Amino acid sequence: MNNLNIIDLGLTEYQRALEIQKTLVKDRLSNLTTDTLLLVEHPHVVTLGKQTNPEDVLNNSIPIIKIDRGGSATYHGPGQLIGYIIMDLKNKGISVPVLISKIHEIIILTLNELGIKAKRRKDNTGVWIDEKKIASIGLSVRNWITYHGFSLNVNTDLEKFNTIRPCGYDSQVMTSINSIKRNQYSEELVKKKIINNFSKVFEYNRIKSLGKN
Amino acid sequence: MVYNFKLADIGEGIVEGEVSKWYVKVGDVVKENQPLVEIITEKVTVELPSPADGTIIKIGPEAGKIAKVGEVIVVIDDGKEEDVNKEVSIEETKTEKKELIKEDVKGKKIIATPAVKRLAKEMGIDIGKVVATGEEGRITEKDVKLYSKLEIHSNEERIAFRGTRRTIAERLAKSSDRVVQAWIMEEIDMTKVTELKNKIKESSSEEIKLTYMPFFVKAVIRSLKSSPRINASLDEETEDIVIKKDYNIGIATDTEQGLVVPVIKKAQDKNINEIAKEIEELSIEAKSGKLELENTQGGTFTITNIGAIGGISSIPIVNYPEVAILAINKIMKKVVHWEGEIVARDRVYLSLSFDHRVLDGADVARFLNSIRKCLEDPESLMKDEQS
Repeated sequence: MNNLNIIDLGLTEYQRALEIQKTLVKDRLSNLTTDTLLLVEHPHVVTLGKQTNPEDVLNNSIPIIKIDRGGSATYHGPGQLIGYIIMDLKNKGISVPVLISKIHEIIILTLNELGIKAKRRKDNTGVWIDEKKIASIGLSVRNWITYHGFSLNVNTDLEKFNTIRPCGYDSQVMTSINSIKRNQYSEELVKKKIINNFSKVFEYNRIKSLGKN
Repeated sequence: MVYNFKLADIGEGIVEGEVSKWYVKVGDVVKENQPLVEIITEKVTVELPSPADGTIIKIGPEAGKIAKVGEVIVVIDDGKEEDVNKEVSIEETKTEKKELIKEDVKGKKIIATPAVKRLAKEMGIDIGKVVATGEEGRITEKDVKLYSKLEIHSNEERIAFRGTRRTIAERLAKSSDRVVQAWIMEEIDMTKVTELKNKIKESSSEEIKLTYMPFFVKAVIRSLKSSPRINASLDEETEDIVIKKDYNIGIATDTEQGLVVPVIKKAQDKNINEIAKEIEELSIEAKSGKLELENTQGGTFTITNIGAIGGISSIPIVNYPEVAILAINKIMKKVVHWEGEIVARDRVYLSLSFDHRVLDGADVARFLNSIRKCLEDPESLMKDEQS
């Protein structure tokens, strides 16, 4: 089976989106659904992955949630495109490192199409434009089903990263598509490109759009 | 029977990670696929499921420690008696061999995980016949599945649909999916081009490989200049027809891997010798698979010279998102009525496919007329060069 469901949830609370992911993981495990790409934006929230150093949280002006993904602290908010990936790795026949590599590829391809030269770094997950980080990746795998995923700054208010040290870096490290491209691109366009590259890179041949999109 | 499971055996592709949590302890009875341990590896937390039913005899590194590839992270006893008919041996960790079940079936060592063996059994396949592609001769799930297909169709060959072939397929499918393809054909007299080509060759001091193609490129650029909407693309996202000011001419090239289209950038600024040279260089790079990505991008119009191989007529597929493509068919001697006489001349059919969403038949008919005029008076193309 090489089908993909795409669900565009729009603006959704972090916890609600996490519940949906967990339901999808269960359904995927019992083969009630296919692999799914959940697209979502969150209201302002800071999430702490399992590798968070307590010193990376500078203040609590934004609600903070501790969660079970890999990685450390990050901020999510309006203008940031989030892709949660529910994928059966066994069925797809790919390993965790390949999965991570392909997520990088999808984001880099998308940015290239928008005229932004992005790259990955050997020492660090995420997608980088020179010394600035534009996308973060953090995942969990249970019974070889993935959840969590990536976040890409499109129109993100970068000031909001100031409450944390994102992934242990100074908050100035973050950048976004529209701070590079002077508000040229809509989130809808970026979303379309992400969907397109996701299907291509992971070689899904049947794609079904559910929800808002 | 006791199984030693190493990190690499159950944590597919995971080479090293920090053990963050054990869900089980020694003495616990576990079911297959029950979570045993959580490992954190760069930005990913992975819960490793139990590979078998049984009792935990031993667990590996404690929480907070690093688990390395090849390290035994759990030992499980399934409580079953060892099957005396099969010679089963579990290698001790010291030998650094895979902790897999090895059986001697007709003198051949079988290395496979229990899951793969079960799969083979379920599919009714004699695992002894399966060709192993895994590490150290291990039979993988894929091997078993492939074998099942080969067994049924032994007179077929399966070639992975990947790489260049797949890219070609995707691009053509996209073109066929989006473009409203229409087609027009014209017959053109090439005699004067043949004569001019030979003349240039003889008079040239340099050894150049001059083919018909540079003349077509020249004629196409001259004609595109008077039909700018053909040197264009359709941007469906912004709903604009994008007229290109540079003439970047793609040349469809046959290679071992399949069709590739190197692009002559800013061909309007190059003379016939420069174009000839560039075509030759790009073609060599394409055929040896050394073409740089940037030399295949940014095309504004494509020419395919299928006739050099054969075929008197063809219908090319538009190289999306371009809006038209020209196919040159076989140049051949034909008896025609020419300037009041019946004579044999070099003739060729040119076929042009176009995106009818952007262009109409009249546009491309005028474009082909212009190409015909240029090629039937090729000296005029050379005059371009002095100006």
